[in-house]
Amino acid sequence: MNDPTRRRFLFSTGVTSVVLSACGFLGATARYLSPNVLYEPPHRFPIGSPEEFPPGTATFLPEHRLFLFNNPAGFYAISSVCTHLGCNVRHIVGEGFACPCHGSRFDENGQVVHGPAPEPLAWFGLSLSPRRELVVNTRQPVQPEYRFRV
Amino acid sequence: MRTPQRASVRFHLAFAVLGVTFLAIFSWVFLKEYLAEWRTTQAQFDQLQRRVKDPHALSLAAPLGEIQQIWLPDLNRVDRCPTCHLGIDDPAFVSAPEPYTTHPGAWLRTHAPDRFGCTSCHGGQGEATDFRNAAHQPIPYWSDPMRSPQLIEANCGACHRERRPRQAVWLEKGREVIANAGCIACHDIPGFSLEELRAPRLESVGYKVRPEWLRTWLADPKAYLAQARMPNFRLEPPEIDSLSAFLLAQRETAPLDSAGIDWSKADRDRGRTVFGEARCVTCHRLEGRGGTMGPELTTVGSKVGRAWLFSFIKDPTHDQPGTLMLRYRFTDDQIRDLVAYLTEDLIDPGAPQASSEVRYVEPALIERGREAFVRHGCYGCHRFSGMVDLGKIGPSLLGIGDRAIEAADFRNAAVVPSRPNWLFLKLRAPDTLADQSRMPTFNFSEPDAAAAVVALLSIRRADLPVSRVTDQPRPVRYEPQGTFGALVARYRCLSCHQTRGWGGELSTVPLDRIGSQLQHAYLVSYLQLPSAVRVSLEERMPWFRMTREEARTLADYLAGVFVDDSLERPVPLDADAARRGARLYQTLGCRGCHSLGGTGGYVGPDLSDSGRRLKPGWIEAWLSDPGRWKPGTLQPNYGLKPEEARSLTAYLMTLSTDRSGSTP
Ligand code: FES
Repeated sequence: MNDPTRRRFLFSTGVTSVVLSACGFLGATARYLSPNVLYEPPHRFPIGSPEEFPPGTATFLPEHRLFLFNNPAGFYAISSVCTHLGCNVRHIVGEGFACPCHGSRFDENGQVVHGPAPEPLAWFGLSLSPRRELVVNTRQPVQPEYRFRV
Repeated sequence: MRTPQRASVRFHLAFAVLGVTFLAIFSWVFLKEYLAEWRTTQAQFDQLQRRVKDPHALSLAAPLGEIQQIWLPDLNRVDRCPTCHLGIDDPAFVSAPEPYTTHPGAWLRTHAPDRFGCTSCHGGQGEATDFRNAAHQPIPYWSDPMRSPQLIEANCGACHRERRPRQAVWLEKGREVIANAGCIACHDIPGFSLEELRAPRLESVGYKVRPEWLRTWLADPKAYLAQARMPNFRLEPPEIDSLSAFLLAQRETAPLDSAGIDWSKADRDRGRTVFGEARCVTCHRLEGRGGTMGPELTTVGSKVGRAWLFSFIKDPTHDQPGTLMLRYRFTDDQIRDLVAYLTEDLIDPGAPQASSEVRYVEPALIERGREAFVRHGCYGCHRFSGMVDLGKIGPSLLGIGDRAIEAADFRNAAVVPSRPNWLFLKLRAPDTLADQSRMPTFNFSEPDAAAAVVALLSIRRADLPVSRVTDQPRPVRYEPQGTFGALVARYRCLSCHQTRGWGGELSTVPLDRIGSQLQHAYLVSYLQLPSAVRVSLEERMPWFRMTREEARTLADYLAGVFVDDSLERPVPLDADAARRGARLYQTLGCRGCHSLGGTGGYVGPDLSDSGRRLKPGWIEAWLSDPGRWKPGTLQPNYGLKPEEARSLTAYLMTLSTDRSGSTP
């Protein structure tokens, strides 16, 4: 092999690897922005067996900041975090939710009725653990038609 | 022209090599991330769950493709174990292999993983997501590897601080070993207090023991008595000389005067009878039989002097104010006979003979003895006036469960340098770990030492939030006053009986509601002359020889104060009910355990005299639910209807032995 060929070969190998490495570096940097896991409360957590929530009730779970409803159609969970600045909203039976901080109002489905809140309250997906406990998944947003049947 | 060309080739070569190296490094980073052990483990679990579970239930299973973690800020723990242990909470995986298998037992029901995590109980490195770094086995640079089944109870003990935690037998046993061995005398140990310590005071020991015995005892207490509490301090002969000289010079309180006693009249056989009647064996062991609360007496004659023993039996508190020993109401003649029996019949024929020569003891020797006494921390157990504030001789054991252990701590290279091994050796043979160790040799058996290791490992440095800790309330000292109090102190009722959680554990009968359980007249006669209710028991109430007045005072107080109002209710007793009760007594098979008039079983108390002994309200309440009054009792709960319990009560209240007169 003469020198120009060898040089060309080495040069293209070098360029390819550097380009690939640079892409890899960018990829790794991008991947770094979404870590596998953070020090934070879990997004899936058990809240107790379905029997602890009698039919027709709304239960406020302060440590998880959500309301659990048990309707004839099934269970559903609505976040109690006001979409304005994050106060806990209050549930008023038959009326919906009211935020004590700046007066936002939401209907029974968490849709904004009026007030500074820009978005409806979040709804979370539910499932049942093998030990028959209701599990809330805050990373699974669901529509207000959502009902979970045990 | 050749040289620049060469240089250019070299430059290209370097460029290519560097580029490939970069590429290799980044490929490695990517492979490491995407071929991580936990991803493979989860993929295998996915296949497994498709086989094990029905397809509809799959959505319920743990989500795959991400790291699962339990974050417990208050315990400072992040446990990622559920990333691989995916089936622990799901009964469908009972027979699945590790790491997918269901958690055994009902532990997850009482210790929900999302509240307690995994490493709080199991140890190991919770942050790790691969098998090795999780410290399933010991690894370098992680001092807290996963606990083996033998040691796991140590982690129970970090939160469960009660002396007797439920379902943790090793931990419970270990704490008992620590309490009995008196470790608290030399070390501060959280959860243990000096009040538990029992050792004689030595300010007047010069009057008490025989010099020959003292030397044998100091050389090796276990040689005199296998169950001796005192450990072996590995004393050299010169130390034994000086220590015994020092101890024999301790003569603070002279024994009570026994000069007027005519020892030639002593009758050893009568003494033996007194010994038996007083039921000394309830607390003292004699030739392998009897209790262990007091010292063993098989060879007591070779140990203590006659004059001291006379004085001690006459008034044990004379030189031992805190003793558990009661003060019998013996006559001087009875004491004389008893002492003669103890000092002449109960001797060790092999014991060294007393030398009759009187030797001059130099003060310097006594002074050296005092130094040895302090150096070995003898004052830790044997409280000694003048040495109260010397402090504990050993280091505090707070955080012993986290003590850093290095290979250099072991002189024996054959032992794996781990914390449990170090503790085990320290307990079993302290002199094999360091030449200068002052820790005495306790001769713990292997199981005892292993249990104590578990209990010690449970004493961690980092303190837990109060909400995580369970403990039992410490019993409050109960010291009644007045005439009743004086009698309780004299007869040392609380050496054996408990009330309000305070007192000894020898008796199975707590006094809290005794006044509602027993009839007053029976109490008076029983206190004067205790007759055995459970003949199968060796440990029975002693015969105090108390006066009628004293018995009446005690019974009055017990009947007035130690009561439970819920038991003080009238039970209608009629002959019809009694007849039904008698039939019930047969059908339930009560006679299997209880005896009536000499026939029947011996497991439960004799019921022949229950009509004069027990109060009906108590019988009824007891029969209705024995476990409520005495957890763990052998008496079965028959689930009697109220009517049946009442009939049985009526029947039992008709039973009475036909003795004339109710007083002995
Ligand atoms: S935070 Fe709820 S209205 Fe502002």
